[in-house]
Order: sequence, then C-alpha cells, then structure tokens
Amino acid sequence: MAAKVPRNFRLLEELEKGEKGIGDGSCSYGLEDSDDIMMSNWNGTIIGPGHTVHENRIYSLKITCGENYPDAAPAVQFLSRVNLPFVSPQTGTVDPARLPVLASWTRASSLEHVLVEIRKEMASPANRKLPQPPEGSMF
Amino acid sequence: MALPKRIIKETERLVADPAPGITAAPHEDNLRYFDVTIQGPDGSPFQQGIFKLELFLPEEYPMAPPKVRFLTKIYHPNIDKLGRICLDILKDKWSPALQIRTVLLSVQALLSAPNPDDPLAPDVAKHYKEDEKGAMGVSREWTALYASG
Repeated sequence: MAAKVPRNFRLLEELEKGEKGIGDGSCSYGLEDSDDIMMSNWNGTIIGPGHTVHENRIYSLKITCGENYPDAAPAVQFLSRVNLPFVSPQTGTVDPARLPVLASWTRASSLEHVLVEIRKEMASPANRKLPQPPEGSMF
Repeated sequence: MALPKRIIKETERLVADPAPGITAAPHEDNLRYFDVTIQGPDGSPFQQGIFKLELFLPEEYPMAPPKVRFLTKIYHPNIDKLGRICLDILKDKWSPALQIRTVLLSVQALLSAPNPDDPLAPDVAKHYKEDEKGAMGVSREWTALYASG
C-alpha cells in the first residue's frame, strides 16, 4: 500500500518548499497568516512573463486549500486585476473548469503547479496580447 | 496492498498497552496517520494540559522517521507556531530501532525539558533564556487557554 500523505503534512512539505524558493523566482507562495495551524489560506505571487503585456507586472493571488486538499483542487482568486479568459472580470476568481491544472487536478499537482500553469497561460499566444487593466489595480 | 507488519504490530501495542499519558489511534481511512494526545508532564508548565498532535508514517518508515506535529497551540522554545517540533530523533538522530511509542515519549519529555539553546521558536527561546519564570508563566497560561481539553 503506497503511503498516502495526509493533507496537513502535504501542506507542510509545500510550505517548506515555498520558503526555500521555487524555480527562477517568477512564482512564489506562502501562508497568509504564519500561525494558521490549518494552513488553509495562502498568498501567491506571479511575475508576468517577459515579451507579453504582463511583462514586469506583479500579480497577487489568494489560494485556499480546503479540508479535502490535495484530493480536491484549491480555490484560486486573483487579487490584482487581470484580463484572462479563465478569470472572472468582476471578482478575480479563477474558473476551475477553464484552467486545465485545476480541471484535471490530481494529488500529484501542487500550489506551485497552479502558479506556474497560470503564468504559462499568460504567455500563451491567445493571451499574451490581451488588453490589461492599469498596472497595480486590485479587485 | 497490506500495511507493513511492523506498523501493524506497533499499532496493536499502542492501543493495547498505551504509554502513560499518551494516546495514539490510527485513522480508519489511513492507517499510517494517527491522532495523538499527550498529557503535559507533572511539574512542567504544561501540567494538566491535553495536547493534540498528528503523526504520519511515511512510505520509507522505519528507515525514515515519523512526521509529528502539535495541533494544539503551545508556548515552547522547540515548537513553532505551526506545531513543528525541533527534536533530534525526528531528524538526523533517527534510528529504525526507535518506534512510534519512543518518539511520543521523547516529545512528552521535551515538554519537561525545553531546550532554548536549540530553538525553533526564537522569540519564545529568547523569553525562556532571559526570564525563565515569566516564560513558564506564559506557557502555563497557554496551557490553560488552549490545552484544557
């Protein structure tokens, strides 16, 4: 029987990975409140990919991991205003059905994956030139 | 699909013959994941507290140590705000000869013997070093506030 890592220990692993810094630093995440023992609420940051309308912009996101994480996908919401087809223009909520990493979520996915995939979407041919709200504006 | 025999044996013994002041019960849907309680040792500022913890035996157990964390808030220099524990046997001093029972007894012993020279919660450790009596008072308050069952 393969060991199934429980939610809290999985989130601790992700937290430790996030604290060390991931990849080239273009995506990062951490706990919203450093003594949130249930580790439910997270902040994410994406630095807009180069050679797109998002270049050098810093996007803040809120990620919520429910009780059933990582069997269930986290809820993701942009705090910074952004124009992307899978983000609600009113609230910034990411529509999980329209973002493949959330739509086909598995236990092998992670918070890091979500941010990296969103950043890739920003650089996709369909999205890289979409007109954007003023830099730094928030939902 | 079977759970390793060693884990089954350890679990049976934990349930049949629990260590004093310690309970550990596996989750029905994940037999490597335990709900744990530890009673604060007499004579420590954690006396009369019942602390909840969670313990997980990773795939590599017993070649790798169990993962253990406090779920009850506790004011202790070697336990951080997320309940993570700084204890050598949970890290580089782990040996497969140790067991769930010995790990939990060591965590209980850590409550009696805080070690502010190897801190995980630097602010609490500083408090313990500069004003041990005051720090123990806070530990007692937190025990009454968060660990009274």
